[in-house]
Amino acid sequence: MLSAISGMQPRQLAAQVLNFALVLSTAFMLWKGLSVATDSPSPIVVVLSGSMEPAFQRGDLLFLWNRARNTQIGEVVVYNVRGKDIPIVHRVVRKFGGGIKPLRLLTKGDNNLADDTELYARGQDYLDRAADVIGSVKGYIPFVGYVTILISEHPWLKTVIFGLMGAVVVLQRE
Amino acid sequence: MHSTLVRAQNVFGFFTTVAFIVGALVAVTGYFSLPSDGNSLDVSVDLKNVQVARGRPHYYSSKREEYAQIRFDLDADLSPLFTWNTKQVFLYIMASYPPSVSSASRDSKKKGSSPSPNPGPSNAIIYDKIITSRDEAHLELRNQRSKYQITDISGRIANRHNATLEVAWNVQPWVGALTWGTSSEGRSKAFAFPALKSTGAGGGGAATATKKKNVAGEQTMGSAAPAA
Repeated sequence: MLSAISGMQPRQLAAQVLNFALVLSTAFMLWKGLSVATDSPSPIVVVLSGSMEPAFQRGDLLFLWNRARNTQIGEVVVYNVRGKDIPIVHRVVRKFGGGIKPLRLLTKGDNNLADDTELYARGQDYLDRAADVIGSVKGYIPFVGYVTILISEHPWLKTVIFGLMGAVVVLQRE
Repeated sequence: MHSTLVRAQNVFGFFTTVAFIVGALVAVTGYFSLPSDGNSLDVSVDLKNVQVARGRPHYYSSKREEYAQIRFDLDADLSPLFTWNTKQVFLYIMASYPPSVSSASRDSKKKGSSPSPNPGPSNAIIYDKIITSRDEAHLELRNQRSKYQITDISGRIANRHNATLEVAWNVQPWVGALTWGTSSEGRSKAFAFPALKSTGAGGGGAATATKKKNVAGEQTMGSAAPAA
């Protein structure tokens, strides 16, 4: 492998490195562009738990939309618990307020017996639509996000995958 | 150049392309074979009984709130929602009632005319059911007890008027867009939440206490369930 790199012309090597940088920055721009379009800090999320089974299993990919601010009951929303950075995907089972009053929501996982009051921050009984919710689920693709669960559970996989991707992009000659 | 790596790359690329196209076709055809109008479905709901009692949100809470327990009849045939791309139908019945009138009018006076100053109706799901096959899609419930005892955000729900029950559903696809629907038939006549049960002046202590305990017990039932 190293001999393959050292055998290249400097100009060709630079072109390959630039190519790799272009791939990374394109992916980043697509993500951020989608984020602006949907008004959500995280427009695509991977399901991490079985609390919405059988609708969503671990590793399923969800597409969010955050421009409809009058969230209705029965919608599936993704929210972050205050003070924790773990997105949770659950269904809205109670809705109060709206209009000029803040919209308050209570959520529950389809597969859980109890609602989410226990999950919320201490002293918080309802979610604030504007502050806590990062999007409402509109689209669904099963399983393809499972690789991110594997990566977060086995961090060394990240190094391996990035290494392989880099090697392929740099070494392929076209 | 036909090395093993290039062949593997080509096979994988072809596989993902085919999988993507098939998934897109399934999503589009499934979406368009759903009934476009919920009114074409055979759905009706009727209130049978509603009671309001005091209770606690969970066993260790010192908070006292008013909880409504509702009984209803439901007839629903949701089998047209099962296309070849339907993974499950989440059926839910919600109680819908106006938000407390006093606070709404006070707020609208304070802030003047903003785009839609009035808060929408308050909603709470009283019953839900996950339906995963066409065979289970025909529901006929008689005098069914609500799964969830509901309360308002203020903790007070007694003596509210103009409440209705409404049936709604969410179709979860195998791949593609989630859809929601209601039917104009699937809405009950307006009813009122009655006054608090068994609040006799002084005498009703024992009855109130047992009722409280029941409510608290049921609310606590699943509170330790794992989530997230």
